[in-house]
Amino acid sequence: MTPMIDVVFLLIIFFLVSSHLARQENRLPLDLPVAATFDPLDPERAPLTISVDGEAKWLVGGNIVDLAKLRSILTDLRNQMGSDAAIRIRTDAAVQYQYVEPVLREAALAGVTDAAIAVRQETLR
Amino acid sequence: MTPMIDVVFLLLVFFVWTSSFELPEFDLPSAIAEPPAGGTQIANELPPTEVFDEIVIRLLLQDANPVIELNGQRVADIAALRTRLAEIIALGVQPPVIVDPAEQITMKSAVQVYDAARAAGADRVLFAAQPE
Repeated sequence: MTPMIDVVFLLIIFFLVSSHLARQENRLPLDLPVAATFDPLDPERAPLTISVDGEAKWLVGGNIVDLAKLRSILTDLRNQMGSDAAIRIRTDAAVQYQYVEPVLREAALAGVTDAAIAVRQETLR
Repeated sequence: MTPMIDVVFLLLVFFVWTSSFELPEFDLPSAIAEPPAGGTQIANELPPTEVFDEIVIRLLLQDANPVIELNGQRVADIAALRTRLAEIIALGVQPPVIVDPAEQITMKSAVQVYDAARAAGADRVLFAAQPE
C-alpha cells in the first residue's frame, strides 16, 4: 500500500510543478519599469498584451508585428469587444518612448481607450 | 533516518518548485491625450497662460540627461515635481496632467514621471502622442 501512495504523491507533485511551469512561460521576460501607484490586478479584465522588447520590436501573441498589422489587430479588437476593448503594454524599461508612442496612438485612433502599462513594484527591486 | 531524509527531501523539492521565481507584475492604468482633430501637435502648443487649464510635463533630453519641465519651467528632479504637483492639487483643482516625453526618453523615466504625477494625487494623467 505504502509504495503506491508514494508513487501517487510523486505523480501529484509532478503534475502540479509541470502545470506551474507551463503557466510561467506564457510571458516574455522583460525588465519592466517600476512604479508605486499601480492598480491591483483585476482577474476579470482580459486585455490584449502588446510587448515591446529590448530591441523595440512589437510582439502580439509571440509574433512580431509592424505598424499596419498592429493597426488591424487593434481595429479587430475594437470591433469584437466594443467599449470593453483593453490593451496592456509590457515594455522593457530601456525602450525609448518613440517606440511605445505609436502603440498608444494607434490604440487611441482605433478607439481602444483602456490601455495599461505593465509595471513592477518598487520595493521588490 | 532514511524515511526522515525522504520526507525532508520531498518537502524541499515541493517548496522549491512551487515558489515563484517571477516578480509579480501590476497594471498602471494609462491613457493618451488624443491628437486634436485640427492636426496641431500638442507638443507644439505653448503652455497655457491660465496655469490650471492643464499641466504639461515635458521630458527632454539634454546632453544625455533627462530634463523635466513643468509647464515650461525647469524642475530639478522627480521628487520636486511631485511636490509641485501636490501643491497644485492641494489648491482643490484637478487639471489633467499630460506627460509628454521626447522621443529618446526611455520608458523607465517616462513611467517614473507618470507614477510621480499619480502619486501626487492627479486623477487624470495622460501620455501625449503626436499625430503622424
